[in-house]
Amino acid sequence: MSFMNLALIGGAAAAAIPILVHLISKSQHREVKWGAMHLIELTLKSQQRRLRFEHWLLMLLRCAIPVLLALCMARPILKGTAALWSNAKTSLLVVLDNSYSLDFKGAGGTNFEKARDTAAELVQELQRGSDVNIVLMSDPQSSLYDTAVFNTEAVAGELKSMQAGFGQAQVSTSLEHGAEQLMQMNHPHREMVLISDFQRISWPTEEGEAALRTRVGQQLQRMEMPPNLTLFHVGAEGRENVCVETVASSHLLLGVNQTVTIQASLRNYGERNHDALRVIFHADGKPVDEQQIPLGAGERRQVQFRHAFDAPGSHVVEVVTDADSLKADNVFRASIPVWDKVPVLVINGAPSTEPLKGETDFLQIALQPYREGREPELVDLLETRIIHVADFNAAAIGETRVVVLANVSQLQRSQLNELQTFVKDGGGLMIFGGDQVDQRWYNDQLLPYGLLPARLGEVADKQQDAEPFTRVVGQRFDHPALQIFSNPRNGDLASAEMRQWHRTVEDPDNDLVRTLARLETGDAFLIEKQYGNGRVLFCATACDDAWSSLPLRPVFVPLTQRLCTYLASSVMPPRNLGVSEKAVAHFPAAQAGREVVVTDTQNEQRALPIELRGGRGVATYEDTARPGLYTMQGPDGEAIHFVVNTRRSESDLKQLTSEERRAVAADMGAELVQDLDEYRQLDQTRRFGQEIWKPIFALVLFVLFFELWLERRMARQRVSG
Amino acid sequence: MAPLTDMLQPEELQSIANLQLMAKQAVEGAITGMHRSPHKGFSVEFAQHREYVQGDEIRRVDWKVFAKTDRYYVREYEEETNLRAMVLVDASGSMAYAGESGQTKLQHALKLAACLAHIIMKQSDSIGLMTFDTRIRAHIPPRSSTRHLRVLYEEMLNTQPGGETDLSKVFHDIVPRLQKRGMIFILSDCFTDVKELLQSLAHFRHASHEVVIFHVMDRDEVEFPFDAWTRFENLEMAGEFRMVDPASFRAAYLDNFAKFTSALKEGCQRHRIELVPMYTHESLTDCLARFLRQRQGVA
Repeated sequence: MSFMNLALIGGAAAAAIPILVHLISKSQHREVKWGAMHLIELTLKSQQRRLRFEHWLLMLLRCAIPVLLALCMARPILKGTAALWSNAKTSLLVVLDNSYSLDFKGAGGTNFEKARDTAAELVQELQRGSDVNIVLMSDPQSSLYDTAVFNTEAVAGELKSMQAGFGQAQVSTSLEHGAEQLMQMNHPHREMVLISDFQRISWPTEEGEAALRTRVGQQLQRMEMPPNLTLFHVGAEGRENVCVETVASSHLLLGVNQTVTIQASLRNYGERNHDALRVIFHADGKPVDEQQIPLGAGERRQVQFRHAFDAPGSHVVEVVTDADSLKADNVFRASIPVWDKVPVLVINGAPSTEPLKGETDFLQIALQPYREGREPELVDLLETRIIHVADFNAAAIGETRVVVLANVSQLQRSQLNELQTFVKDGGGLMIFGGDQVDQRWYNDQLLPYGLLPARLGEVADKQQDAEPFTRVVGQRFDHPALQIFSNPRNGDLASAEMRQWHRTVEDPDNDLVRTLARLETGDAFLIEKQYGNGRVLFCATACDDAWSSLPLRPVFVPLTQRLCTYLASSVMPPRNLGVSEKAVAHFPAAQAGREVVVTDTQNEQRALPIELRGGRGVATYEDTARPGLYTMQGPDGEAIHFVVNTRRSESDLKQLTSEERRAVAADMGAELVQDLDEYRQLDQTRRFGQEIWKPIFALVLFVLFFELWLERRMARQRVSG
Repeated sequence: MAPLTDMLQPEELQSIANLQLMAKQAVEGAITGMHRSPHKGFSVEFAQHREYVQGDEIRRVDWKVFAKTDRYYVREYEEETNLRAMVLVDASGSMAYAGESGQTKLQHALKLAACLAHIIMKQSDSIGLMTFDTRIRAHIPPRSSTRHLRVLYEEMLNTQPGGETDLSKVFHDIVPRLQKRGMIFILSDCFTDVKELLQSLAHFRHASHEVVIFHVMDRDEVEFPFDAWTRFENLEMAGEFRMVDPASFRAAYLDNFAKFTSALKEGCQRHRIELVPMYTHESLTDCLARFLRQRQGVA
């Protein structure tokens, strides 16, 4: 404790006055020769303890009054180690919430404008020589500067011109990132100020995330030079927000002139009912359709639009509503590739010259039914090319979207490498079993390469059994590739008789592997595995009629079509991106070294080089922080559309209540402030300690009143007697 | 001998002269006076005849009736008796307290004793005086002669406050010394244990005395008007004192004083003892008037 007016503390000596008054009045007593001494004795006996207590209490109160008054006037300051920092330079780390929920515009501007201006004020108020860095909470977590900077004016200027991000706030990750930044900062006095709207979705109070936050808070306190952690709440809570949550296409793979159903899901997070909410459907930037739907408070509703594209290539659809001021989630875009042909490369492991005896004969018919059926009016979307194992190489892959291994015994190492790169980059691989499959090679080579979903076991053979076959278990499928078979009108998988199949050893702990369908024996029939950006599907039986009657059943056509289109649908670097995800496009290796032109959401263009990577040309555009449409124009003029959508979890603008914010701050060992004045007061307290003259003055008043009350009470006793 | 006028103001004497002291109950005495005696004995006023019983004196047999009726009857007479009054004055140290008036409680008590003597003598009754503190300091038996009044006055004038008080012990000592029943006037501040005091007063009542207590108090003792720090020195025990802040102490003191007087009053009522409060700042006339009115009311 220290005093601002130390000399005035001498006034505490006035405490002696009541004692002196008491002693003087006692020494100037009168003497009375008294007869009724027994009454005095009796009274003293019964009242002495109380009287003594009251007298001492009164004396104490009277002594305390001048002491407390002197203390009050001396303006004491309570402080711990704060005094050490009172004149010290500060290392300030601002963790700034720039998630798109802060783009909500309330009275006096958006919440983000308030947040950034607050941060700028904090930075400007730093002492000369202090260093500062800013960590942005929107994903991915990034700091404004690689290392802390000392030019606080420049930082403040940059903050004031900053725009809100469009990602989701990642609280604990941002704090961890902030802690890393703090360790590189220069001054021992450290402040970490987290400025956020405390949106409920980003600050869940559930145990998992809350515990994580608490742990991060505790870690900060355990740092060698722990920062003062302050949580700064900014911004008003948005009460009204309608968002387009998702846009989904009915087709996994869309061909030219195929009619696609676009299903949009809209949700009203607000408290107001919309009787006729306008929902507009755009295709390639032009309005195509419009609907008006009712959307009650808290409701979610689907809207469907149908459309057909008459040209192959990259197309964009968007569903827009103009419900409220938080614009970022009023539109949802989707980039939809429209295919003229989808090349499928089938590697035949057991070719034959006899009709329908080759391993891939049925498959070829199933994948190109119109061409094989001599139907010139109709066009197959899948374009199948069948090769022998020996012919498989990078050149053969070319523009292929799906590679099918049909009863292939094994591949050369180089072939395996090409196949692995193909899948890793987003290609689809379909593997059919069969008698030529070299189980050992599959387990020893294909499995370690990550291209086999499960270890192969023995070949199961039901031909000698009383019931010489088994079937696929009929069930409701939720996987996109098999979903249509939940409706028996689209084909019955259980109609095929399986005589032989590969047993597999499944790994239930592998999250990347999923069994899509099973046989009645319990063995897996179809297994999927994610590998890199691509997918692998393994079918336990053969694609000819040697092991099953599946190729002879009508369901074989839609099944193979669905499996291949499903695999092909991931064939490309993704074009529907989250905020700040990289936009990547592949080009032929021959175009490496040339440039693509990217047009961003603000219609600004930027040229990017095509780099040769993994035997192909790759163009990467990273500046996708704003949601919207990014168009990449290739060297041959082909446009590739990338769309960036915000995460809709941010659309729920509800904030934590003040009690919850206080609880969060308490858990994290942080202080919670609401405005700059409160922060300044807190900073003042931390630096210089807490001035406590006000509570002392309140205590003086209390003591005065108490003394008065006690005195009057004692006087009343005298009078009433 | 100091005349009564030395002790009393003329107006007090004038007032007293008109007062009639009426004894509540008859007392035994040899001198004929205003008071009827229930006791039958030698007297000139015939009361009744009754049949002789063994043990009656032969000389009291009415021989004339015997001659007429041939039966033995004895004659009974109604006698007139006098009041035997005894004034007991507390001369202990506590009676030396003098408040604003400057007159001690003892002086006030003695003045009252003089008044009582004057009135009783005027009625041709006999009166005695006894002063005491822890022991009997002076004992003048009751007489009715004019000369006796002078003896009483002299003793009153010579009485000075003494030491400690032990009223109950002294009263127990006094009772056997009062050979005949009579009226006992006790002039005291009664500053002693009330329970023990009442036991000793009961002793008087047991001996068929009528007891009147003049409770002598100073205003200071009743109102406790002190406010500054005060050193209360014990009048009955030299060197003993209490330093007290009376302001905070007063309520509790007055509470205890009220309890003390209340206990005394209740005890006296229980033993059919008349208790007359008497304050040193009050005139004797008022005090006596109150006393006599009180007696006429109950007589």
